Amino acid sequence: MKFTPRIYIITLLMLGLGAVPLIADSIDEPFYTVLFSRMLILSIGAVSLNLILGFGGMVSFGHAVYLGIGSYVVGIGTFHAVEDGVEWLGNGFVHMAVAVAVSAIAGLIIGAISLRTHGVYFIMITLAFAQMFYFVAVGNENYGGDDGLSLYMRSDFAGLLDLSNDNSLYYLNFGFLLASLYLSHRLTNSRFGMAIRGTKSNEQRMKSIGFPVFRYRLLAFVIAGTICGLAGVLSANQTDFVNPSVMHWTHSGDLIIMTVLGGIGTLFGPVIGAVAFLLLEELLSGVTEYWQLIFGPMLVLIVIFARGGIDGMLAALDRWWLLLFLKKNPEGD
Amino acid sequence: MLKVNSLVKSFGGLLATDNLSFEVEAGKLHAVIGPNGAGKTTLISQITGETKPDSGTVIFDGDDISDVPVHLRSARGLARSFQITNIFPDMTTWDNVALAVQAQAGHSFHFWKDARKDPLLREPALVFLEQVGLAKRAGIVAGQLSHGEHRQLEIAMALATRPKMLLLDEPMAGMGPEESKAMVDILQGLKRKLTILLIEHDMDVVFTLADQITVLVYGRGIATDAPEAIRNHPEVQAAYLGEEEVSA
Amino acid sequence: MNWILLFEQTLNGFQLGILLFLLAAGMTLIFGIMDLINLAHGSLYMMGAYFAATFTQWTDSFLLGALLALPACMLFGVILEKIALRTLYTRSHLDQVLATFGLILFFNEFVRLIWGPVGLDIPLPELLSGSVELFFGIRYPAFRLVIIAVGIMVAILLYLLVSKTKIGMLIRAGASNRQMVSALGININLLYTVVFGLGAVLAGLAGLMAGPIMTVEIGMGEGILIITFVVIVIGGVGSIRGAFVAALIVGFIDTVGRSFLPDILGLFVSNDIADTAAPAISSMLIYILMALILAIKPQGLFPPKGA
Repeated sequence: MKFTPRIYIITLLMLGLGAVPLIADSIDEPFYTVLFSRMLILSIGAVSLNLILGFGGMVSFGHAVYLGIGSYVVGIGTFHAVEDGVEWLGNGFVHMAVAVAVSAIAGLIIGAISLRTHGVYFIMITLAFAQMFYFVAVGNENYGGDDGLSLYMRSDFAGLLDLSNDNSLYYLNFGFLLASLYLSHRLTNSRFGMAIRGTKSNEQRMKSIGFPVFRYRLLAFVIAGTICGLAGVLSANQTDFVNPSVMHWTHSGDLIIMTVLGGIGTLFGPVIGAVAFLLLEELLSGVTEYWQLIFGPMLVLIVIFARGGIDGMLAALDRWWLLLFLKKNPEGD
Repeated sequence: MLKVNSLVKSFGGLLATDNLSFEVEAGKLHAVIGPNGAGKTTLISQITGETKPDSGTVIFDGDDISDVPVHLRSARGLARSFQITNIFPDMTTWDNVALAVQAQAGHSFHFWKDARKDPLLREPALVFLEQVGLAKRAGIVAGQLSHGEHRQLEIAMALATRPKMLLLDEPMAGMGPEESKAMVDILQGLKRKLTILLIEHDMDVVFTLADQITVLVYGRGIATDAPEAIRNHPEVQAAYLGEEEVSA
Repeated sequence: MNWILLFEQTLNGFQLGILLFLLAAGMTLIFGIMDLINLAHGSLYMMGAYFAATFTQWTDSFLLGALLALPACMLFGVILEKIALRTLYTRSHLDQVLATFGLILFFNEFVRLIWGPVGLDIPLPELLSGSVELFFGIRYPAFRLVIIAVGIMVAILLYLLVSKTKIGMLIRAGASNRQMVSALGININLLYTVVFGLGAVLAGLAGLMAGPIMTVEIGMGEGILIITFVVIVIGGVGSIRGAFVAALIVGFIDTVGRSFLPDILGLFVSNDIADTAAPAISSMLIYILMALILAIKPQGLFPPKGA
């Protein structure tokens, strides 16, 4: 494999992400660990969204719902674990298992209905479902309603991991990110993945060569939701707080931005996008409190001019570099 | 192989298919010709299942497929190529045909193995590409192929579904003389191996390739016969003399 | 059964429906003709309210403030269309969603910069701030009746515009076949700008009428934007008639549903459960309705012909 600029940059990014807690500790700024931890979690969300949006062409405007589901599983579980003394409800493995189950069922129901529509109708109906979940959370006074719920404790992993240690949580998040990236890699290159790509490329043709398109899309939708649900579990632990706004449609919009910004349909694009988005947010809000005045138009410009996102730009960089390289060495490799 | 019985279809006040019946024999190349507006496209979409006829039946390989949905007709062995290029533009030529092969290889609920390196998919795909003369262009992104190459790819994808019958919808459309000749050679090569239903405007091609010809005028089949008989058929001559000559 | 409350809430429902119609009509036209999903349509609504608030303050008269705000909205919309939205017509819906999402962020900050973070009030003139006695001694706020009246007038004017004028014919033609209209040599760019300007005025009108009864605040567009989407999906994208019918249905269900759901639920379950579940379920009612309609008639109630 040639070591092109793009490969270098992505490798550096991943190594950098892995080293964050070490660096943050050495300069005694634990804030950075927290910041990048958040990036990891949203990266997982973006990676999962990329499966259906980037590779499958399904513009789901309700993906943040699963972050909410995962979060509330932890919130409700730890609440009862402490308040009612039911210990196993605070167990991290239980949280994950329940988050997977509930996300999968939600994805199945939402997908079964939404995937019967296309185009703008699909976007609207996924948005509507997200709003429904949002309102259920807001209306639920038992678990904080609009104000949300503070966590008494983080998920308990029975001695294997102590999540109250921010670094441990960081590496758990990082581990999950690596796992979801690997899963995404295998899935998108498998027969299943090819079928999904095909439905994005030309749905009519897929049907006429005999693929039952709905089935594959639904499964992809469920898988994406489930992975995002796990990210939700991590998210609640990260913020020590659960609140309906994590499911708000604007948050789904943020996920879409991250995915597109990074480069849809690429493996590392979502990670690049999530990191870039949050770094930009952090940088700009340090400059001015009216940072969205800059961020908004930037978004518009990126959409108009930088097709293929950042990863696309890196790929272009590669082509330019290869041209240069070939000029220098006409014999080539 | 294919029997079309008393097919009728109207759209609003327009009678697109007027009590049409004909039969395509197995192993033969059967052409359907007719002036513009004769209802050829409507006929195809009723055979593929995209349009439901108002009345009449479509019998394929002995089975009545009139109520079978589109994606299942392909499974029964009926493959079509599209008049307007309908490939996967952002995937390579090889990927395109491999997908068609994959569609026939049972379900695609396989999540782990790399499909692009799977010989069970790649090798047959390459064979089909060779049959249509596209093997050298296997690695090119399909969107960048020339128009004639698109048509060839179309046929390769149709072949990958191992059809009993191939439905070709104006494969010569928009092709220059060299591309046309290449296509005719490909079709000659395919003729003995499977049944072909050819919809085409180009008369030279039709008379070169066809074993049987059905002539369609205003949705009505006015004649079905061997090429020579059709050439001398008075009604056919009248229908075409009344229209601008379409072929070269 | 509190009939008076039902009657009042029905009127409230119609009033909400009228506001939704003004937003939905613009949005559905823009989507039907330019194939543009514009998330920033809610921002146009917000600008209408803010412009009206400021002009009312300057002129000490709500009527003048409103009359000045309308052309300001149109100008604002036209400028927005020319600068930012024109490039999006040929882009995918995903791109449009993202770009207009960026615009929402921008406009919210822009408003915060110029008008500050605190919401504004729009004081109503004496004539409109009282209530009017309807039949059976029922009293209803005068301004809300004005909203309903204005809305019905606009609906009639729109209907006349679309069905009886040349522009209307172009709009209808454009909604069902964009390429044909431009092939006929009509200045398609001008048509698009006019349509967008019209949508902006309608949105601004909704905003300035909503202003006095709700607070004029940052982000006020987003909440009603989602409901507007539901309206056009139910009504059929591209159809003004659909937008009108759907808007009234949605307005009615949302308002009447919210006030009566606790009681209706109370018939089936205990009052405690009813009180906890009711707020959540009433918020969901319109989405459930949308899901049902999409399940039965995926193109909406009145899809425009040729769509």
